[in-house]
Amino acid sequence: MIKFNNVSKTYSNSKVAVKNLNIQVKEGETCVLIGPSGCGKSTTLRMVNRLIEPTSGDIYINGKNAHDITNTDLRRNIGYVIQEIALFPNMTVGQNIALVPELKRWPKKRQKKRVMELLDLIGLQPHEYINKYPCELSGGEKQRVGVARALSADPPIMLMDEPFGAIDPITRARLQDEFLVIQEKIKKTIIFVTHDIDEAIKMGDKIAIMCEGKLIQYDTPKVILSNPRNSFVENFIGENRTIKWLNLLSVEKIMISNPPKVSINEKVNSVLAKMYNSGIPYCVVVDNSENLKGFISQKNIIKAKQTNIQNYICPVKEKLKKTTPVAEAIFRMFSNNTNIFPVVDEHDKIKGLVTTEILSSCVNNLNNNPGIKEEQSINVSAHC
Amino acid sequence: MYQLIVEYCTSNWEQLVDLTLEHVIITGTSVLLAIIVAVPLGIVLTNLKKVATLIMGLVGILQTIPSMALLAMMIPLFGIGFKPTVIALFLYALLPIVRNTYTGVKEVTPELLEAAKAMGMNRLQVLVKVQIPIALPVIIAGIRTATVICVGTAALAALIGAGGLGSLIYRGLQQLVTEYIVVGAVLSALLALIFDFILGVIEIVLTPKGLRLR
Repeated sequence: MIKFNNVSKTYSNSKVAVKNLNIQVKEGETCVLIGPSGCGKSTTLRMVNRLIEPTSGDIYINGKNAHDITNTDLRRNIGYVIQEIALFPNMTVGQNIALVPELKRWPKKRQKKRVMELLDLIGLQPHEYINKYPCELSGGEKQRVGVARALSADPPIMLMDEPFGAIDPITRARLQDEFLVIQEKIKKTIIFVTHDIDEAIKMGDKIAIMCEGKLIQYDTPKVILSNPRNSFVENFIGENRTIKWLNLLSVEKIMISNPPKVSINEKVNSVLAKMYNSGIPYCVVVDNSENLKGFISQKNIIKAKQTNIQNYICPVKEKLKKTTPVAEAIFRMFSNNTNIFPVVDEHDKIKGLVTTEILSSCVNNLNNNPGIKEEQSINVSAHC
Repeated sequence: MYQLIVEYCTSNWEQLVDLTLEHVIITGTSVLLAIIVAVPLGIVLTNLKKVATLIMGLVGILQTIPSMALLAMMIPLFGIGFKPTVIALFLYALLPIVRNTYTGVKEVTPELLEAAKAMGMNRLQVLVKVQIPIALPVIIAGIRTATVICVGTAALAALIGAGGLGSLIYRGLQQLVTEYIVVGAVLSALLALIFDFILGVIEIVLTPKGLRLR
């Protein structure tokens, strides 16, 4: 856990970088610091590992005052990733990753094992990459190694200063996704600085919006999108809040879970009975070995003339993952010209259904929610 | 002419070897002393910006003194022979080494230094693990320049009784014997080329592989 207690930083030219900051980052959470340049977000980050010393106030790391820990001990237990990556060009990928373990005097064998483990984690073939030099890597590979280096001594805390800022948008999106998967496994407490609101929404459990050294709003992405505290935040989030919201919301949250299952040989009457019993107007059709064959909707069979259901089955066009954002589901629904999607978990087991009705009611709900309205007039000169 | 030179060399080869060795020792001692002083000095200066400009200026002034004048100045101060020669050559070798060490170490980007610090390295570790390895090729290039300058200037140092190949050239000039002049000049030129080549190889070998690939 990281706690900022009334932290201020004034530079020698009496420029106030950070003013009375109070933030608490819970263990295993990612806190994204965001704001226009010069808002003090990087200064805040660097005060955690004391690259910059606060002028007043205290920073507590897992209950201990950072000021009472020696610089080197503090830093060896905090992972640090920066935009420039800064891999040491004179060292191999393996040596770069093993740097902090080396400083902590781990035995060589343990270091090597850890390097292999990490290369594997970041998706680089360990034997191929361990002896390469930074200059032989692409930008994306370098940044992956940078992340591995920060993780090497398994620090409980990670500081990331625009880690994906210098990478092309396609690779950036991939690295973000990969990092989210990694974070799911490792559960580090992370402070992440960015100036990209979309990245903040994607990566953050909490977002801290800063301006001129002050904390303006500190909330979950959802609350920030639905209830921006003032016009500065509202402007900062930018237009298309609804779309950002839909990008944030996963289909898991809105799907019909556990729809009734019917066998492909069942008769119309029994299928209708199952729908009535479950209160869900849809059924999933499976064959004898539990493979998904399609769907039946109530309105298609309610006036059925045949007793066999085969002719009423809509085929499966595409499957959605639980984590698919609602915005993407809407897009796919239109592009596939279908009105029903199965939602599957990571083992490809069906978990629920998403239909056009659900998606449109989801969008309608957002628009009727007083918190989430499309922007009225945008006040460009809004200040914090 | 060609025949005379060959004849001279074959009958006096022992003396030639002695003179060459003398030349190597004068140059080697001066450059080694310069390395011992200049490399640490260059490193220390990277932390003292204001002093750095001053010292670099001073060392630069030493370089601008014509070699003949510098050598002559040594006579009233230190007499003649090996000692004043080494001192003069040492002063000459300082600038390239100090300057290259300073630039090489300074050239390590602030991001790399910050990353090193943020990994929990202390100052000595930053120096030994990051700054020096990255600066090494530039430092050695400085030593190379210094060595070549010293081999050449050492030939002049016969003027203050240093011995070496220069003394052969002087004798040739005084007695108007072309063989002496040619042999002395060619050998000292060869020596400079050989030193340059050897240091060039050392430079490549000591350059960290990750920097060589660039």
